[in-house]
This record gives sequence, C-alpha cells and structure tokens, in this order.
Amino acid sequence: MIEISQVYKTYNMGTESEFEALKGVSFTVRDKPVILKGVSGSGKSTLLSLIAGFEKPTKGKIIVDDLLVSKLPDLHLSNYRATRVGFVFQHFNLIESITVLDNIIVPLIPIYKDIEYIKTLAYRAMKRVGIEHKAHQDTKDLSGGEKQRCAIARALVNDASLIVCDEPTANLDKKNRDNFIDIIGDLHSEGKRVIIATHDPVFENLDFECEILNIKDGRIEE
Amino acid sequence: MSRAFFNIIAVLSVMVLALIIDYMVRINSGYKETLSAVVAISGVEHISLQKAFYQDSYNVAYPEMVGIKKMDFIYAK
Amino acid sequence: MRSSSFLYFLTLMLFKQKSKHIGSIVISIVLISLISSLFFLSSSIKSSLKDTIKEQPDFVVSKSTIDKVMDSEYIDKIASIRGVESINARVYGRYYFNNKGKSALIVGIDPFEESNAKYLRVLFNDIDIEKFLSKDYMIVSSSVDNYLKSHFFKDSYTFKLPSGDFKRVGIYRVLPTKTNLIANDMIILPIDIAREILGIDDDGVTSISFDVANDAEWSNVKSLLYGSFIDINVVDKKEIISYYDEMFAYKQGLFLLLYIISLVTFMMILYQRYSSVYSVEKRDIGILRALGWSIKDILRLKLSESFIVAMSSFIIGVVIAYIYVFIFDAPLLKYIFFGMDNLSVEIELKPYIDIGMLVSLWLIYTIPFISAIIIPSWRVATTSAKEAMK
Repeated sequence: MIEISQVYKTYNMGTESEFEALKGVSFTVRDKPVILKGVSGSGKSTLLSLIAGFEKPTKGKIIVDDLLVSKLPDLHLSNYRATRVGFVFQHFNLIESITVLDNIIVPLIPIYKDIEYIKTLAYRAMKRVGIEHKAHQDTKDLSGGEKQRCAIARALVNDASLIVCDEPTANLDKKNRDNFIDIIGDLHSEGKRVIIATHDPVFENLDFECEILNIKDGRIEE
Repeated sequence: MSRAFFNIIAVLSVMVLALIIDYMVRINSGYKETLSAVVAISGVEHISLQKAFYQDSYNVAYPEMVGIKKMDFIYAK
Repeated sequence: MRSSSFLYFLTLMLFKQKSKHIGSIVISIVLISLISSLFFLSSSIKSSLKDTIKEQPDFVVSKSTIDKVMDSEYIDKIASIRGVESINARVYGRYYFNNKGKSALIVGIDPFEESNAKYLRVLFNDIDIEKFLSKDYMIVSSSVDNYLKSHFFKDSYTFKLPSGDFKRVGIYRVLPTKTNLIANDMIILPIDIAREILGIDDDGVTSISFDVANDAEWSNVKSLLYGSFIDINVVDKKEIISYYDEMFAYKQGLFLLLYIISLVTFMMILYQRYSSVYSVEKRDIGILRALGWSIKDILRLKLSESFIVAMSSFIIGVVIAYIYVFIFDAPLLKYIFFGMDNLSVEIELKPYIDIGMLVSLWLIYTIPFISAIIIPSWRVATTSAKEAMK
C-alpha cells in the first residue's frame, strides 16, 4: 500500500519566487493503477517525484509498504529508488552516449557486482518490451517509440514493485501508445502498483480498472 | 568493456616498467667514470656551453647594453 | 570471468565519453612532458656535474689580468705552501677555426703526469701514451671531429699558429659522447703543442690546480696566495659546489617563465573540467541519482574517472619526457641549455630522475585536477535529481 498523507511541497521557500506546488495532497494506492490527471503545472510531476523519492515534501508523509519514504536519509532513499521504484520519465532521460543495453543496466550497478548477471536481467527486461534486437545500438539513434521502450525496460529491470510514469505517451504515436497501455495492463496483472501522471484522454477508457484522480492547482479534486 | 580497462592498466604498466628497466641499464653504463675522467684530465668543471665566444659578453655595437648571446636566462643567479 | 559491474560502467563512461576527456588528456600530456623534460634535463646536468666533484681539484688558480699566462714562479710559490699536493699545470685557450666563427677549447696537459695517464686509460682502454706523444697528436670531442670532417679534415687538422706558421696535428682518438657535457668543444693536446698553437711561452701555463688535504687549511692557503700575487683568481671546490646548487634557480629565468605558462594553461584545463561538470555532465549525474545511485556512488565514479585520466596523462607525459630527453637526447630543448652558436651539441645525457620532483609534480597536477571534477560533481549530486536532469 502507498499512503500519501497531507503532503505539501513548496519551492524557493522564503524568497520572492516562493511557489507552492502541492497543497495538502492525500490519497492511497492499493491494488488498482492510479491515473493522475491534470493540466501542465497542476502538480502531477511534483507528486510523482516525491513518491519516487527524488525530493522530499515540505510537509506531510509518504509511506510505501511501511517505509516512511518522506523521512529517509539519502543513502536509504537511493536504495529505495534503486530497488523499489521503476520510473519512466516524460522525456525518457536516457544517457545518449551509451547503448540501449548499457542504459538499462544503470539502475543495477549499485546493487549487483556481477556484470553478466546484470546483463541477463537487462535482456529479460528488453525482451519484455520487444527491444532486445536494439541492445547494442546507441540510444541517440533510436526512434521516439524505441526510446520509450528502452525507458520502460530500464524501469522494469530491477523488478520493482512500484512503477511510476510521468506523461509516458506524450511523445508517442498511436501504435506505440497502445503498446504501452498493454504493458501497463500486464504489469498490473502481475501485481505491480502503477502510478501514471498524464493528460492523455486515452487513459480514461482503459480495458482494466484503475483509479483516476484529478489534480488541480496542487490539490486532489474530489 | 572491463577488458579495455585492464588493457589501459597493462599498457601503462608496461611503459613504466620499460622506463625503469632502461633507467637501471643506463645508469650503470659508465657515465660517472667517463665524465669524471675527462674532468680530472682537463680540469674543466663547467658545462661546455656553445655560445658565440667571439662576441664575449657584450654587444659590439652598443657596449653598455647586456650581451645578446648570453646564457643568463637559463643559468640565472 | 566474473567482472565488476562498477568497473564495467567506469570503463564505459571513460570510453563512450572520450571526447570529454581527450582535450584535457592531450593538453595535460603536453604540459607534463614539457615540465618533466626540463626537470629531467636540468637534474641530469646537475647530477652529472656533482658526480665529478670527487675528481675535481680542491683549488684552481688562474690569472685575472688580460694576458692569462702564469710562469713557473707561480707554480714554485704554490708548491712551497705547506699542505699543497698534486699540483697540475694546464694550458687553456680558445682556438677559432675562422674569424668570428666556430671555436674549440684547447686544453694542454702533461700526459706523463700520473693521474692524467690513469684517466686517459679510463677513457680509452687501449691508449698508448708513448704513441700519443711520439707524433703531434690530439684527442678531440665528437663535435669537433664532426666539424673537422664536415670541412674535409678527416684524420688531422692544420692549425694556424700566431707566428704565421701552420702546424698539422693528427686526431689520435675521439672522446666518448658521454663526456660531451663538459668536453663538447674540447681538444686535448700535449702541453707543448698547446703552447705553440696558443702562442704561449715555453714555461707558461693558464691554470694551476692542486689539492689541500686538510679542509681547515683552505682559507689560509687562499689568503697566502692572494697575499703573494695580486693578479690571480683562486676558485675552490666549495665555490664550485655552491655554483652547481644554484644552477637552474627555480625562481628565476627559464623556470619562472615555464611556471607561469604552465599555471595559466593548467587553470584553463581546470576551468574547462569544472564547467563541463555543470553543463554537460549535470544531466547524467541527475539521471544516475534518479535511478538509485547514492551520492557516494556518484563520487566514487567521478573520483575513479578523474584519477584514471590524471594518472594516465601523468604517466604518458613522464614517459614521453624520458624518451625525449634520455633516448633522443632532447633535440631542440638541449639548445636552450647548451646554446647553439658554436659547435653542434652532441651531448649524451645521464639518466637521472629526481623522485621528489616527480612526486611534487604529480601532487600539484593531480589534486587540483581531481578536485575540479569532484567538487562540482558533489554539488550536482547533492541537489535534487529532478533539478539536475533539467
């Protein structure tokens, strides 16, 4: 279970450009995938980055499977990100100078010492999203859909129980978008928790049940 | 990829080893004895500088000026 | 073979991002090889000279006036001083092959003098002193030999004497190039022939060397000599040693200029690496952080990366300097140290590596270089991953 309780996030506190991105957000993620809907600037990405442990909230609690993520020290938070979270970024955030395979193994480097074992896990993740034939290609030479599949494979490689996606279909054509939705459905059926931030209307009519939360001006709309 | 790392280390190690071996061979090849012998025979104890000796240490055209072919910049005191 | 994942990734980042490293590696190698070459050359010269201290006489007396020639009165006076031993008289002079042209240092010695004969045998195993004296023969340096050959004098040279006559002297032996540090333009002749060539009277000498076993007597001997002759210059071994020590004064001349240029260039490298972390590498560090790398992991990666780059540059730079100075005898650079207006410089340098100097150079180079990468990396790693990835 993921519990978000009265979470606030303020940037540039105490300065002229102080900005409150989240204003007391509370919700719980159980079994169903959660779709966070809202326009740009509503606070979706901020909320996702707090759940994923990229930042800490100014106030409030984030508990993921009994782990108080919002209060973890840096070393434990890094470990949390490495082992429990798989994040798919809006702009993929791949390391352009290296290959698909090398991008996918990055999250596992701090966890496992044996590179051959890591590569085995990476190939497994690549097969899952159908990109294993591109393993040795530099990511800068990939198409948008291929980059996204590489990003998804990277998010899956550590077998994390929580998958977080920020605007995953923003740069995709219809075919790749449908592929992505199929993958999400598969993940859900495997028992993984999925949280997706998006303003793509296709997520309102999915084949599987999910919880849709509307976020506006840093608050969840009832 | 890791092999490339070990290749770098190997190349650098070989370079350092070759340098050390060359150094050990050369320092025992009689520099001290030979140079000492010529010093003892000739009595000359300074470096053989190849400056323009005919000019001595002054500019012929302008005697008050510092000589143009001196080695003071290197052997400054 | 089980291979470390960290090592794999480290090598990956080094090779895949080589364009980032190649500039600073090349400039570092050039800088380090330049500085090391200069240090190798200067310390080789200093070390070689210091090796010869033992064989140098304790005192050398020469004339301070323009005529430079001392007669037997000077030798007799020196011999009469108590404690003086191993008196050796020599004739020096510069012989010009043409007007305002190349010249050689003529050194006239008494080859029958015991120590001279002994050292001649050190230089040439098979030397026959009697044969050397039987005809007009000379021993020349390799540079003099090459000069003479280039002017079609193969086995001998005809000197123009001050009297207007000519004297043909055969080349008996060529000095080994190992002696050229001191003897690059030297011609060693029996003292009588040297006198003829330099126009010096039969009993004239231009330098008298001797030893005084008791160090405590040195100042007395010097005072006695200055008291006896007003026109002499007396140099003792201690003065020579301090001259060697002061040679290549590091705060002056060539070395000061080198330091300034090196410092400026090095600052540019540091600035380039420092700003590169903030501009180019910031995003990559942010991605690694977001994917679960801790600050410690990031710093370990950056430290290893920068250490490998620094060490490789340093080792390659030093090896290049060594090859340049001690295997190729420092072409071009040697002319800075030895001049190039007279004969060609054919000096074979004794390898000498001042470990202290190398360690200092390594510290001065490596610590700022690594800091210029680690400090901004740490700053980026400690900001939020989301900010870093922007």
